[in-house]
Amino acid sequence: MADVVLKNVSKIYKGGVIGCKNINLSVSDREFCVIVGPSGCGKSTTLRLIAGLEEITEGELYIGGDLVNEIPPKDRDIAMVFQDYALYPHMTVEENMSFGLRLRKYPKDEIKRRVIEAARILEIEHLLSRRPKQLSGGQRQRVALGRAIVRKPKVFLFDEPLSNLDAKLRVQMRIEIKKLHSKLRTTMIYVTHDQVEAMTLGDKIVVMKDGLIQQIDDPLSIYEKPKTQFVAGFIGSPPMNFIRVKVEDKDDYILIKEIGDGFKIVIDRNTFSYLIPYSGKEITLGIRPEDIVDRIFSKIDTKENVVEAEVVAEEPMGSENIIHAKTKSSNLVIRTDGTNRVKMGDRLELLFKLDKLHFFDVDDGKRIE
Amino acid sequence: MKIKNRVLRENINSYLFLLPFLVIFLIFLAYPVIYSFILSLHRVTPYTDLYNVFSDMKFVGLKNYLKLLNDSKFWWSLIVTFYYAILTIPGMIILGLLLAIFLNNKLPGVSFFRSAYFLPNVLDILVVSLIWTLIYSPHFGVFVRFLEWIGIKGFSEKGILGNPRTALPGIAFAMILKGSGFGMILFLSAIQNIPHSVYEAADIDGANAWQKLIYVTIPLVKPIILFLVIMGTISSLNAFTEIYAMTQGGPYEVYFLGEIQGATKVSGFYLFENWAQMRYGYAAAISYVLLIITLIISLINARIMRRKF
Repeated sequence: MADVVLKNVSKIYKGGVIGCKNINLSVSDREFCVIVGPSGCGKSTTLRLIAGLEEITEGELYIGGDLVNEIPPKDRDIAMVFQDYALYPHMTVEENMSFGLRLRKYPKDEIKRRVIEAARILEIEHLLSRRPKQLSGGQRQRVALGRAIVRKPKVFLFDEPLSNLDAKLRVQMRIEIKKLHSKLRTTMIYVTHDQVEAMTLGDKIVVMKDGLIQQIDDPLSIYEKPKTQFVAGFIGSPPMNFIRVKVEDKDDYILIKEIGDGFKIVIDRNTFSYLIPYSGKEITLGIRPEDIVDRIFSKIDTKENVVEAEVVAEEPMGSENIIHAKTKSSNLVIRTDGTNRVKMGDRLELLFKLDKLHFFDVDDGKRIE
Repeated sequence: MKIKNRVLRENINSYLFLLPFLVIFLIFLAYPVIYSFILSLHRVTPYTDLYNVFSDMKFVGLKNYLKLLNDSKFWWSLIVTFYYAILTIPGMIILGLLLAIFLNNKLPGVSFFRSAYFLPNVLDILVVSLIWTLIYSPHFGVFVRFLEWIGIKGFSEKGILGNPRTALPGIAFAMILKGSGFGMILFLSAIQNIPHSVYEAADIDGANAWQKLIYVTIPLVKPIILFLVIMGTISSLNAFTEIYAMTQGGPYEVYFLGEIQGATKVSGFYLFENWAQMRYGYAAAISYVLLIITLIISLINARIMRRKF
């Protein structure tokens, strides 16, 4: 059991390519921390730095309070699960799982006991004598998990462990990993590009982009108060709508105008006082698909703040219906109830939930609040 | 009917495509194999017409084979062949694997060394043998001079190849250096096929460089090792050119079963000697025994290779 602390950690490759920069992250004991971001954002690099598979260029890394910058991977008391499982192809499942313990010269009966215990947790007892080639993708991933579990490490590291599985299995293994965390109560650091995995698994989510941390928060805070436009667009599916608008301070209210002579929304001047300095300037309005309602479907009788849009496509999914619509100069995605069906070219009268509006600076993408 | 015709036509087409190979195979492989078996049942006699030897030989049945059983020179040649295999095969495999591991690192000049180590493999055995004969030769040979320089003077008069103890190891050393580039290329591609993450997993599991070699790399290149053992055995059974060029089977200073034997007289060279002395039937019988040994080894090979991981 241990916490993991990164202080100003950077990885700069030969030729100046930045792996990750000034990473400050503290994962407390027994926490499930998910690092998420698009490919090339430095999330895997960060994980590999923690594992010791790559050398830290700058900064300090502490595991369980000890500075481990110069400690080789084997002495960091960590276990890692790889995207391609990285099982030893020539060893049986049992040999794969026990390899680390055998190298560390554990007594034979202790090894046997631990392997069987881990196999029982992962329900792979019947596979112990098979080789990786004889296993399905999901089974291989369980073996890779088993290899990590038997070591009883201080910290578990996961490098996109579910990306090679098919969609159905991925959902199933996601739940298994969550169960595993509550059973083992160990610090886990999990890297993924899948925001659903991040939201469902993490106690804490780290969003990265271009080698930099964008935001560290719990899942709901990330969803409800994204610190940058990038985070807002990355977390959530379908992603948040972004509309370029102009702010006008009208003394007793604030007027939000869509660029290109589009819709107008009137908002309360006190609630949105932070927008006053932006009067006369352009900013980005963000609104999540589920925070847009259709006036007619919802039977709301108002003529105020109505945004008119034309349907360009719909994606009916049964439980919900994703509608793509066009306002004067921007595209909107709206999530509605599955029974609300529309046709191409339909005129919609939309209302934005005013307490769910997000505003971002046009220049640096930072949240305005 | 129609379908039958089409199948027939397709079959004929297939055989037409195979024809060029089949013609070459029949003339240069199948015919000699069969004919040499017929030869092995015959003997050249003092009355044989020397201008028409092959059609004027006496049928002797299995006598040539029976004679082989009592031929101390033949048994000695098998021992030498076996010794030659023991000398070359492990050396070639170990050197090939070491070179491959070395070249698997991302060091500057790696592609140059890869070609350089492989190059001797392309050279003819005869050429390499002649070069090494010079290197090993008495008085002025580089190798002998080097030994003198470090204080070993025993080779100055006869050279490496003139000494019955060092002649065969000398040839084997030359052939290891010539041949290990082949194994290196095979090992290198096998090693490069091992995912990097497997080594990283081993790192995290606590393996050091040596343990990674023993527990990860070598087990995963085992098929290559088996393949090289078989190929090495076959080429030892076929060894001739290097012996012919470097020692002619000598030096004749070894006693075995009461007879003087050549220290480097491998079976392939003994076969050649018998042929050169016009004992065609006997030479053919030797070649058939060698063929059977080769077949047995190949079958064992196929059996082992079929065991997948």
